[in-house]
Amino acid sequence: MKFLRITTPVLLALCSLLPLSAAADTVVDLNLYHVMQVRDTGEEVSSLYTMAGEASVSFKSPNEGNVRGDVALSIVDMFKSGNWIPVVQIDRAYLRVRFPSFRLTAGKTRVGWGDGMLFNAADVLFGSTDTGVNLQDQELRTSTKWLTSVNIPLGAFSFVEAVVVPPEDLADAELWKTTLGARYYTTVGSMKVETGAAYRADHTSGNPTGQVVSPYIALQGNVGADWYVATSANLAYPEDIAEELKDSWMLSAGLFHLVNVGWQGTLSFRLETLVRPFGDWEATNEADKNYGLYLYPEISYAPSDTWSLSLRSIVSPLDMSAVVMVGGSWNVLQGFSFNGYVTANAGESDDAFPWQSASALSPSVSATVGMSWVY
Amino acid sequence: MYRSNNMKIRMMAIVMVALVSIATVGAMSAEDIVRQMDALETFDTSYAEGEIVTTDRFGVKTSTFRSWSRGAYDSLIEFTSVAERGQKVLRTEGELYLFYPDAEELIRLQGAALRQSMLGSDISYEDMTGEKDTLSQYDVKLVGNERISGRDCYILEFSAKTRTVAYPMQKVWVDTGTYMVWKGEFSTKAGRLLKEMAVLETMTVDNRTLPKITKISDKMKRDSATEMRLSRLDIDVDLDPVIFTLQNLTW
Repeated sequence: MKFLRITTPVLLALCSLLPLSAAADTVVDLNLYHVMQVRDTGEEVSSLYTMAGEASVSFKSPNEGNVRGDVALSIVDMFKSGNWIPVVQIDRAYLRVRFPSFRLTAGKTRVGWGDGMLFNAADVLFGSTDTGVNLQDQELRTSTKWLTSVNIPLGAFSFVEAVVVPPEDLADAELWKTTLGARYYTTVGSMKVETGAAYRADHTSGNPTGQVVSPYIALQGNVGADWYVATSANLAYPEDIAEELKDSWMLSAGLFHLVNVGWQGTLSFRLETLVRPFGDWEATNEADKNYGLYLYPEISYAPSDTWSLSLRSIVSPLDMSAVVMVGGSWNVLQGFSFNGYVTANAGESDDAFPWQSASALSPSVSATVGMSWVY
Repeated sequence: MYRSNNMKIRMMAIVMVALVSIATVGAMSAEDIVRQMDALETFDTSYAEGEIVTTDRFGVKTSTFRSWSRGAYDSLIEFTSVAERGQKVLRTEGELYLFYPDAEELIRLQGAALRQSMLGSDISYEDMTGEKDTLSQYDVKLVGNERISGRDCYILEFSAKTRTVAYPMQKVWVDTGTYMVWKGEFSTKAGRLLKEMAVLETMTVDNRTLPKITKISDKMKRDSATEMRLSRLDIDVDLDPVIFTLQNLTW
């Protein structure tokens, strides 16, 4: 109820924009949920129960003509210093213009390089390697940045793309800290081939390496199941190139297979891995873990277009820990769904996914039951 | 998201497959009828607008779409209803591309995702636009004639030759004049009825009689039915080749 009371004025203010956007398609995505958590710190076991919510409003231009735009704002109820504080953030705000020989995009949006639900070594601009994601989210990687991109088609299924990402930290927004990227996307036979690179400054937090170029290559094909692999590494200057190359080299790979069950149902299997050949290959007690191997298995079963069940997990084989999420969704009415998820950590206190943790961000068990409506 | 779209695409696929018909005259064997249907299941090009209306005991859910098809392989479907607005599926020879605009996510699928049967029967993504060869998968018998919706129809019975099809048995009523499929029953090998399809309303396009509203009932569920309603269908129209490219998919 706190969420509704606090965010209603904000929603009303947003809705007042609607008449101004008569030509735009407005979509509201409202999520309300009960959250129950159990936290075992090793010294005591505590529980938490609350209700929270999130709303987003998107104003999309009609799918006509040679100019497109989308503005999406979300309101999240954040708990800070003992109070619930509504936070409004810009999820997307971009213009896209189509010219005869290229396409220009400017604003806050995302570019999806490479393949991978959780692990994607080719995502050198946004990063898709950390394991601190919410497995209950339908999309695990959705962060956006202010950027400008130019996309030039080279055929029906080939293109080149160049991206400019200005510095995000205004306290450190010098011109030379602009991030640049470019990629080439094509198909060779039945295989997709994608290669590119990103340039940026001060890449490594806490251990700046000066200027860094991160090349990558990503391939995708089918061998009964769909497969995808990618690899990337950093070429640093003026740091020791060989050392940085070794430390930053990573590979990601995945398999995806989908089968019909009955006349409506689908069952899908996904397995992804992230490999850092020169990472840590033994269990470590350090807080910042740089393990050489992680796995992401996912099984989803949808008996119909109304029901879906899913099992997701991030596994750290080197310390034998994992976070596991089991969830379900029931799309009972037009745009309206009931959702329920349970997430639990399984590991010792020094592991990547510990059952016992003093961190408020890492409960031992978390259960979420709620509803969402898109209208 | 993908699962939900997948179902809608299946719905469209079976109707799009059923859309194709042409008038011929004279006595035909069951195999001749099937060959005739298969040969005519691909338009050179088409453009359609419509909606998929699902009704169950909780109410009605509607998804709207636009679709384009070209030749034996290429098709593009764009969802226009609120929850899925802008999501697109591009099918080409051997590939399936999905685009989710909110996440700027372009997903390329091949293999099983492309070949999986649609509506659990003999229809797959490949059937949406590809040339069908029903006789390679089914034995067929002409078992009689019957009037459906005031039209004389052949009654064909299909039995599967392989285990890769979800429906081992099918019974189809085919218009003797237009070759439009008026009715279908889809069953297990033991003869248990799983699904019924019926054309409720037709339309005339380019001198062909085609389904306008098709109802599909899941016999395993009570009070559940899905209708595919086409509000517009243009066939053999000029389509810009750019429609079937990644540039248009991600636009």
